[in-house]
Amino acid sequence: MSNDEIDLTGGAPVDEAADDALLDELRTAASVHDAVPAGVLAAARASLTWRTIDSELEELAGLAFDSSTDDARVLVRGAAPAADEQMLTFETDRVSVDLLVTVRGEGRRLMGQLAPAGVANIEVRSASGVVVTARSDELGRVPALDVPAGPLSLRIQYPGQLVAIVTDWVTV
Amino acid sequence: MSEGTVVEDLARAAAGEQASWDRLVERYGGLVWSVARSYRLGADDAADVSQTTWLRLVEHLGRLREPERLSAWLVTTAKRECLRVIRSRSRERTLDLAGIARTQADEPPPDAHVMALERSATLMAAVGRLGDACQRLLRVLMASPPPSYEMVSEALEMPVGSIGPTRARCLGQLRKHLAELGITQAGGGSV
Repeated sequence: MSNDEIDLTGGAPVDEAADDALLDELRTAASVHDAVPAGVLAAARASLTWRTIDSELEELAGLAFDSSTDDARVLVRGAAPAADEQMLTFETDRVSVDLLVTVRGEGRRLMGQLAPAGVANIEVRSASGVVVTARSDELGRVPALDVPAGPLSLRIQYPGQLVAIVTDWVTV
Repeated sequence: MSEGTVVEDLARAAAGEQASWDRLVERYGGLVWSVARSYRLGADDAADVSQTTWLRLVEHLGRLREPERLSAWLVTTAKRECLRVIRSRSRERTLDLAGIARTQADEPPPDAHVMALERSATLMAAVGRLGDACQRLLRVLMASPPPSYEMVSEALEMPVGSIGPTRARCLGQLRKHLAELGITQAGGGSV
C-alpha cells in the first residue's frame, strides 16, 4: 500500500459501525454491478473434470521460475517494455520443463525444452480440453505449438515410464 | 459452514465428488473473483485468473499441506496469477469500476429497483474515483461473503494491522466523493 491520497482533513473520529454499514452497502452494490459472471462459476465447477484419478500415475511439476514475476528487470512497475514473451520453468525432482510463451495476436505460441532430454509425448491442455498434442525430439526440444490464450497446462509422458508429468496450470 | 466442512468437502472433491467441489466454488468463487478485480483486471483476464486458480486447486487436491487454510491458498494463488497476468500482458485491460456501473445501469430495470440501482451505481462510481490502493482494498473487502483481514492481508500483501486504519481512511475519502455525487446518507448515517 502506498502512493494513495493522504487524507489531510482527518481527525474525525472513526465510526466503525457506520463504516461497517457503508461497506455492507458497497458489498451489495458489487453483487449487483460486478457479480461473478455465471460462466466463470460454471467453468470453476467444471474444473473438477481435470482431477487426476490416480495420483500415483501423475507427478505434479510446480512453477519454479516465471520471467514475468521473477525477473528483477520487470519488477519495477512501468519500467518493463511491452514484453510479449514469458519464460516459465516447471520442475519435479527429476524433470524440468522450460517453456517460452510468445504472444501471437489473440493466441500464444509455445516452444519448450525438456530435461532430461528425450522423446516424450506432450499434451497441451486448456480449460476446455486437450488443444494440441506433440512430441519432443531426442534433444528434448518441444516444437512450436500454437495454443489459445488462457489457462494452460502440459502433460508429458516419456515412453516406457509409468508416471506422467503434469505441470501447474498458468494463465498465458 | 464450518472449517471442518471445507476440509471434508476438499477430501470428497479429491475423491471425485462433484457436489462437494461445487460447494467450495460456491463458497469461495466470489472471493477469488474479488481478488482478480481488486488487481483491476478486465473481465476476460479476471475470468482466466479465476479459472486458472480453480484448475490449479484441482491439481493440488490431496496435496494441500494445510487444507483448513484453503481460502488463504486460493487468495495467494489468485494473487500470484494476477501479478503474472498483469506483468505479462502487453496491453493492460484495467478495471473501470465507474464504467461497470455506467454500462450495467443502462439496462432498464423494474421500476421498484431504479432508485436502489442508481444508488448502488453511484457507490461503484464513487469507488472508481478513489486512488488505486483504496480501490484495491475496498474491492477485496466487498467480496461476498466478507473476507477476514487475514485473507485481505494475504491478497494485498498488507500487514493485518494496517487494514483497519486504511479502510477507515478510504471510506472517509469515499464519503467525500459520495457527497459530491449527491449521496449524503451512506452506511446508515450522515457523512
